Amino acid sequence: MPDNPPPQKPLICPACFAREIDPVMLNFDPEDGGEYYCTHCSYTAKTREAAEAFIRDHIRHRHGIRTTL
Amino acid sequence: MLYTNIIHRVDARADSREAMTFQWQAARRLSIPTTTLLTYPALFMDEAIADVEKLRGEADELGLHFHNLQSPRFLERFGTRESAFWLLPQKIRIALLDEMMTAFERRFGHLPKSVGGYIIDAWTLAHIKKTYPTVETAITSCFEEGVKMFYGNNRNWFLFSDGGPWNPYFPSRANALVPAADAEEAIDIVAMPHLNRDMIMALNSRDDLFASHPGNLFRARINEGAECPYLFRFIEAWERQAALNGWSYLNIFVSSPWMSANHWAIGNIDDARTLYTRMLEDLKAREERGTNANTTMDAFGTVFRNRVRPGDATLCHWKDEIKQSKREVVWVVNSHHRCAFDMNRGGALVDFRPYAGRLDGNLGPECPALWNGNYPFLISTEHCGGHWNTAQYASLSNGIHSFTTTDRRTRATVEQTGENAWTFRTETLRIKLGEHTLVLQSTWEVSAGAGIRIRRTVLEYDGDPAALRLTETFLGRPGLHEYPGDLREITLHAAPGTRLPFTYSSEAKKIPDPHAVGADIPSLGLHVALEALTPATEGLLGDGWLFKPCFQLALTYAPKPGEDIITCLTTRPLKNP
Repeated sequence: MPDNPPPQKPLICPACFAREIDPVMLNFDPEDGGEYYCTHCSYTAKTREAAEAFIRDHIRHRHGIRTTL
Repeated sequence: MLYTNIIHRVDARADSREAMTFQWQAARRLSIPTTTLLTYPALFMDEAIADVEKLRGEADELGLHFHNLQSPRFLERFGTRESAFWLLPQKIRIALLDEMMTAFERRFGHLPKSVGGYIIDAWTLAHIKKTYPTVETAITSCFEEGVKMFYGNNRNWFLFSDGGPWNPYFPSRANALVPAADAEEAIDIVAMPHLNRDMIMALNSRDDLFASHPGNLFRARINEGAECPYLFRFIEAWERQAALNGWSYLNIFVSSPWMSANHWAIGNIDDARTLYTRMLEDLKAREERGTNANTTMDAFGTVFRNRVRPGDATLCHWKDEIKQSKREVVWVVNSHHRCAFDMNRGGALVDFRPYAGRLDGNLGPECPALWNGNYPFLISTEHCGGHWNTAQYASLSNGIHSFTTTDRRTRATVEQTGENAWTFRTETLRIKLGEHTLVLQSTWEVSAGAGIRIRRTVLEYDGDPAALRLTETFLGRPGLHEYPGDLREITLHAAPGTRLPFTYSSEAKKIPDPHAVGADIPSLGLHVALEALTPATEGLLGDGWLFKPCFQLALTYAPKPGEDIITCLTTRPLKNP
């Protein structure tokens, strides 16, 4: 049984961040193989890497910026 | 049984009429009856009426829809550029209704039994019933279209109907979003929602995009060409609700512009029409399997009147149909309140609209509410910045370590325990309190009454039980939207005899052995309370502060493993608010 707290370094929810709602942190559900989930929207990710990739792929578009500066 | 209601709207524009022809023929091919509602311009257009006469089948119902009013005739007759029926001056609203009813009777030889609008307030609905008693059913609100839709539509969509039921109901004469407590209070019209909504997106996003509306699913970009598995999971989810209530209603209202190639949200019209047709085929297949009845507004109204009485309650157990994640929400509505419990937050009450005050929700330039038809919340984690500011939840402590139920995602099991009575419970949660493990289960009992019984049971604890404390907390803030009002109207109480006026002092007052803790909320016309049905050891009244403008009520218990801790969340009208 994993401990209650989510992993030490919190992850922001990339979907909320893309909608300009932040900071909303992801919680971690240790059951069913473990999953990061957002308490605000329906975003989920199986790994930290997936959540971070979502950020890289989408958040740069948040203000209409299509590429890195 | 699921009752599905395919609704069309007849508009005057040529492309809309072509789309209408497609919709009608698609339904006719499958022998699916429709309700077709005529708009003001179409009612006075001979070509549109000729379409109706040519295309309608014997099982199709005709009625009126109070949208898309603007036309040269409307401007000439009424001299206003107000385009929203629900916001028209009352005098114009009556004149428009009279003109539409008269024209409908002249065209079709009888008055309609069904009408619809995006919002029809209690004043208008009561007027319709009194003047045109043939009207039995009406589409009266857009579930949870309000603040989020206003932002999502670039602050141009002045449609605010947050806070009402998602299902059909008998509306109160006091406020059309409030279910009547009894036949005396009810306007004798079955009120229906405009569309069914995704009941998770209704909490935190655009439930106009995620609704029983294939066109809007294109707008949400949840399709891949004509493929949209979500739509069929959505229909299935509404069919499942019948097991919890004995019936379920699905309102599919795609107005003709959405099936037109010219619509801005539709990329490929062939894909949109293919999806629409597949949806009808799915509904037909469900009918053939015996789990769905395709029906009209009027026919469903008759079913509803035979099954449901004013004052009855409804429950919805919604699972995440978009991502198919673990997320679940349980919604309950009765004549006292509407609640949403979010299992992603351990079953916390995350949206709470108590109706005890029966607030006036009539709209228009003569009315105090003007344009804002939202029924106020006392809890809205969406509008108040998460569960840290408003919610109802529990926390546990062993004196050293603590745990809050909002930190654990769970699933719900829902059981109907009687007429208008349900129990739902979380999975058992294994919680670490330092080196010790505690097993907790939460259960809620809901009904047609004002009280919600919350039961927490510590099933196991391997530490010293004497050190355990369980606290039920209610964090509240009345409001219609994100910005808090002046909360200095609020007075916190603990029985017997302790008061704390809300002054933004951040003061927390502790009360030994309380029977109840509560708050008077004059602007909502109600008193809210947590009542200790199990003896509590301590109560707390918490004033807020300007950076955290909400009040806190709490009851703390000393739980023993195996024993139930029961708290009742309840509201009642405030005397002399």
